[in-house]
Amino acid sequence: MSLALSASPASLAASPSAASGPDCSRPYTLALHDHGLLYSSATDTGIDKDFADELIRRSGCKVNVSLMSRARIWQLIESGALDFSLSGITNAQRDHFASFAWYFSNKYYLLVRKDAGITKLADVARNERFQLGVIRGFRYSANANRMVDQLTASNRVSQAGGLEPLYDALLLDRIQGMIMEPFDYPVVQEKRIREATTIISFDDPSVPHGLIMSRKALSPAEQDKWRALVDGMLADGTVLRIFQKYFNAELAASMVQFQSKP
Amino acid sequence: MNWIRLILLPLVILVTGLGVTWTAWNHEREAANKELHTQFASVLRETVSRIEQRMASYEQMLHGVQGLVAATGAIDRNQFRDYVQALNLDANFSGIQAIAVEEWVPAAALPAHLARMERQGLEGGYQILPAGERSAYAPTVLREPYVGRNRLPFGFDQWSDPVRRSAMEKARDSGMATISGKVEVLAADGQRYPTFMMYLPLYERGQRPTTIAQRRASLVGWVHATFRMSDVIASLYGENSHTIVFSLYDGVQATPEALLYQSRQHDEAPQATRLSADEYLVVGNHNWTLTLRTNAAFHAQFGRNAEPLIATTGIAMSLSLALLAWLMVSSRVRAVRLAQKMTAELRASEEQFRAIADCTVNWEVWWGLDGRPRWINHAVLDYTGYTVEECLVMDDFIGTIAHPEDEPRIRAELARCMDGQKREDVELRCVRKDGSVFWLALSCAPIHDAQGRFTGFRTSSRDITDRKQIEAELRISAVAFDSREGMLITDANSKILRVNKAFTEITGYSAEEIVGKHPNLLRSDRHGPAFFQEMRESIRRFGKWQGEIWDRRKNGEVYPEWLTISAVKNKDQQVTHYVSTHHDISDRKLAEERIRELAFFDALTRLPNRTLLLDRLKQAIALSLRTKTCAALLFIDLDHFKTLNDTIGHEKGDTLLKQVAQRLLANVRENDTVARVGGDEFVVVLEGLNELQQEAATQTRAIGEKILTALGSTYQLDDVEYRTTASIGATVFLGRAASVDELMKQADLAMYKAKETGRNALRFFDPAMQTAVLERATLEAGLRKAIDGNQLLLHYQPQVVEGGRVTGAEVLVRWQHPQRGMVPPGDFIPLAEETGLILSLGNWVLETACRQLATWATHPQMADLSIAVNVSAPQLREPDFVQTVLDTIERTGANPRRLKLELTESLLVDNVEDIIQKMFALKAYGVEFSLDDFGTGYSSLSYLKRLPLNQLKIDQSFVRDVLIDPNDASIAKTIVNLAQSLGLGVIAEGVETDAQRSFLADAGCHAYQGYFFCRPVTVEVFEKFAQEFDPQFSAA
Repeated sequence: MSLALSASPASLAASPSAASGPDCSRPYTLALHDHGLLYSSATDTGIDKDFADELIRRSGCKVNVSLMSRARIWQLIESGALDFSLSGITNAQRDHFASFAWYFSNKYYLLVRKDAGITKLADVARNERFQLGVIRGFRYSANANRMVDQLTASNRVSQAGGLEPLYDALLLDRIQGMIMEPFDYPVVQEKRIREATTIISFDDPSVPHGLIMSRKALSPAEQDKWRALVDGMLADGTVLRIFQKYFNAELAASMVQFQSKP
Repeated sequence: MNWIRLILLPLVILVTGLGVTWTAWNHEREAANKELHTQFASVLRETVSRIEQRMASYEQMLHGVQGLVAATGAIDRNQFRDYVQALNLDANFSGIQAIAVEEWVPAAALPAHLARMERQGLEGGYQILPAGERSAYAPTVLREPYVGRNRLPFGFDQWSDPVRRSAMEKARDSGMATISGKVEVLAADGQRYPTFMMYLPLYERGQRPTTIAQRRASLVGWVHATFRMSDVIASLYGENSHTIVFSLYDGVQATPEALLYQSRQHDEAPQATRLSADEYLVVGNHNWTLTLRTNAAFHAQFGRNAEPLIATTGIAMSLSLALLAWLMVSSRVRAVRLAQKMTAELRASEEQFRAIADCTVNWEVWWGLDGRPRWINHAVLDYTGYTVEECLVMDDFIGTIAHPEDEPRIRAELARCMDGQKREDVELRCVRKDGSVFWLALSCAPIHDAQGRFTGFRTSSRDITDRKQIEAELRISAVAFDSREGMLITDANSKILRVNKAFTEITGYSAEEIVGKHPNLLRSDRHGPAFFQEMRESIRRFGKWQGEIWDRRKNGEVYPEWLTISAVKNKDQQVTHYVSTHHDISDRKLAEERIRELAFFDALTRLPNRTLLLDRLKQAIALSLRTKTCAALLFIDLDHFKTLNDTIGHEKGDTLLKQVAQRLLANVRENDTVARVGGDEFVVVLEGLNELQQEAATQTRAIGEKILTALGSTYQLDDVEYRTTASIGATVFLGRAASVDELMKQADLAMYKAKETGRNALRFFDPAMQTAVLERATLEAGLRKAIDGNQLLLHYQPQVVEGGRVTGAEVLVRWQHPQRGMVPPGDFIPLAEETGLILSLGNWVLETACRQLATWATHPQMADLSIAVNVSAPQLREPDFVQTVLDTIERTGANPRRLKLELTESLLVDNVEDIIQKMFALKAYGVEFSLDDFGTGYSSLSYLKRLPLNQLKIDQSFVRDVLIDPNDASIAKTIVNLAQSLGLGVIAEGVETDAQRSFLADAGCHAYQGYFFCRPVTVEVFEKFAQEFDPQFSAA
């Protein structure tokens, strides 16, 4: 599905950065996925949307933005059919087909029902009844990944296409816990969920998230150019401003100020 | 033990194998599990993807319709129909029931809408269903395809249905395709199928609303597609559904109400091994739940069935290995069995030889080229104790059987056999199973097969232990035969068969000279026929004889030998040979002679000793008898030799004796014998004297005097000059007048007499002496008898005091000889003293006296009487004298105070101390002492005061002449005074007249004993006297 972008000819002609900018000879594709504050398809708003707008503007290229499930995004990134996506985290497998430009980081948390009897992470393995909910294709921090893999092996993981059914399932006690990130907060702030759940932190360092670039679709030189754009956005505080729209200053700062990895 | 070892290794292998099997099986199980999981995850992923994709394509399709409307600005029925047809619903987008369009009709716009619809002139009219007034309506105005089951009347108000309405609202506000919840639609066939709709909002032409308000304002209607879930799924899964079973639920809960689709095999009961998963799908803004489960086909397709295979293979292999191990461990047992089998096979082919070989007593072994026995006959069991099987499986047959000492030699021999050589009678020792040793004679020969090739060798052996033993014994006999003793072997008939070297040395006969002859050759004439008769008898009876025999050497010399003869018998106890040993004892005899000779001579003086002397004397007697000449025997005794020896010492004494011997020898004739028979006693035998005894005596005297003179001269004993004398007693005899003993006695007697009469003299034996001696001897014997046999009795001589009171008596012993009558004490007392009989005599007297005292003690008149007993010197000198007296007193029960012991003065000559002690000892018990014969002996007055005496007895010699001799009178008086001043009692003995008594009374002596008062009388007479004499006694 493609959303018709309010593309004015003006934007076509604009080329903000000079010859150092990315090659715009062809149109690019960028996919967003519906995930809390990052992007809401209902309102067509989100961090990722703002970031995407800014990035596209800075690049001066034609980029078609579409909406698809995260799992599909990774598949198409890998195959090269999709050029970009946002807010991705890396792992050994992903690194083979995707290159990243980090622009924020955050920690992962385990959201559990209060009546699940889980007080610390180790309780999860012991609790036979504990069913964990994850989004298909999502990977998290090291400890969280370990938990997911352990529970998958014993068939205690239920996958979903998006956050909403997970929250519904959690409230209905279909699942007892799910892994979440700070941008899931609004939903968390919803009273119903708040009352019924507690949060347990995974003792992992915060994981960097960034622009996902398909290695198959983009050459390393192009990747560097796009990365340079992202670094520029970080440097001049654009990213921080975007985050501050959605989070309080403290949280925004903690998410944005991180050691960017090459 | 073996059994455990046999089992242990296989068991370990089995356990290990099973362990490995289990590990592999477990690994396989896990791998299979993982594989299943992976496959399942893959199927799940794929299913989700398919559904999502399909829904995405449906969205795309509806976007096309939306685009159409947006482009035309109006909803044209024909255009719509064409578009839908073009879409080719049935093929590309199967599952879609219909595509319809709703018009958004707020209540205010309703009349306009109705009018418009009228104008279109729809079939069956148009009306909004359900009827009723509502705030807004969304009636279906278009639907394609308008065939079959789609032929529903238009005008159905979608807005009235809450489920559809909620989806329509969501779609309107988001501008995105939205799926509705589950709707159950009644189909033409009467069934209810789960159905859902996908709504896409339609906005005013040219409008691109971005906010919810804008969207709501520009809304004109929706386009939606109706899907029957079963058709959707059917179009998705043609071929894959048989491995999995899945269900789709509307929303997040898997409840029956929400069930959209269920695959056919869901009726199957779920099993534990089946995998299952729930997935929450987000499609078209709506949540579905997909539950996926595997079924048997899935497991069959993707499952790996290696587990049972691995398990069975592993177990089988473990068992096999264990079995193999066990087989290996038990191989030895099987080796034995194999050996047995091989032996059996060998036997089968060599049967004929075996049959022959088994008959033999010999031990046959067939050896192979490898040096190991190939076949052994049964005899091996008798020979060695091992069975054939045991021998064949031995690792080292030769080493086990052969004796360690013979082993190297026998190995060398067998090596030669292996080379094909023949060996004969190789002798070796072997060791049986029980450890005993036996001898074997072994021969070997090579074996060739039919082609003449050398295939081994065979050995044949026989037991030669017996033969070896015999050989050994023969060797022993041969060595024994060659001993230092002469040995002679004859046959049963005493024909000489063999002699040894020693025999030749003894007898002088060589083997050649004597073999075949009779041992009589050796006889001397020293033994009579009786001797040989006894010898033969002994051999016949006992099989042997031994003794001393005089044989003759070849050179005629007769010699003594020790001979033993033994008969050799065979198994049937028949004599087959005689074996005699000859031991030349001439040397021994010579030695014996020499010893005997030495026994006949005195070591010191070299003179013949008593033994020889007697012999010589015998010879002298014989000679005298033969030649009728007299002979004489002289006993020479050195005077005081004992004293001399003590004075000058034994060494000098010996020198003296030697010199005496020399002098004696010098002073006799050649044929005369001088012998030393005692310490200082010498004997001379004079032969060949005159025929007349008188003349012979004169000759003897002459020689005797000569001897005396010779012996009387000075002796030089080293640095001391010494003189001594001798006493000689001589007796002359003719022929066999007297025996040797008698002659010796006579000479002895004569010498004794010489000593008596002053020594340094020669005395001849007097027959009269004999008589006296004889008499003396007779009397002595008689006295002995008398003491033992009641011939003695005591006479009592009263002792009185002035006034006539009898105080006691002195006892005197009398001998009532049966033949001679009363023997005077003077005859037997001295004899008793000489012979030592005085002791037993004295004891008897004491005993009798004490008994009498004991008897008197019972009579009041007699109780105060005392008895005086004479004690002789020998008695007193006895060490146990005191004890004897005390014992006697105690035994008899006599009152010791009534006992008076009379000692003579002469006793006090020597060892006075001892006497004093004894006296004191007895004095302590109350025994009294009086000194007899006072004045006649050598008593020292100093002793007198030391002796614990009670009384002095004035000797009768003084009393007799007290009136006549003034000396005696004054002596008597002095004695009395002495006694008085010493505090001793005094009694006079031998008082015969009253005048004497009177005198003594004047002198102060008031106690008397003598004939005047009474003679010694028997006890009865004494008692009577005592009563009559003593006025005190009259009162009875």
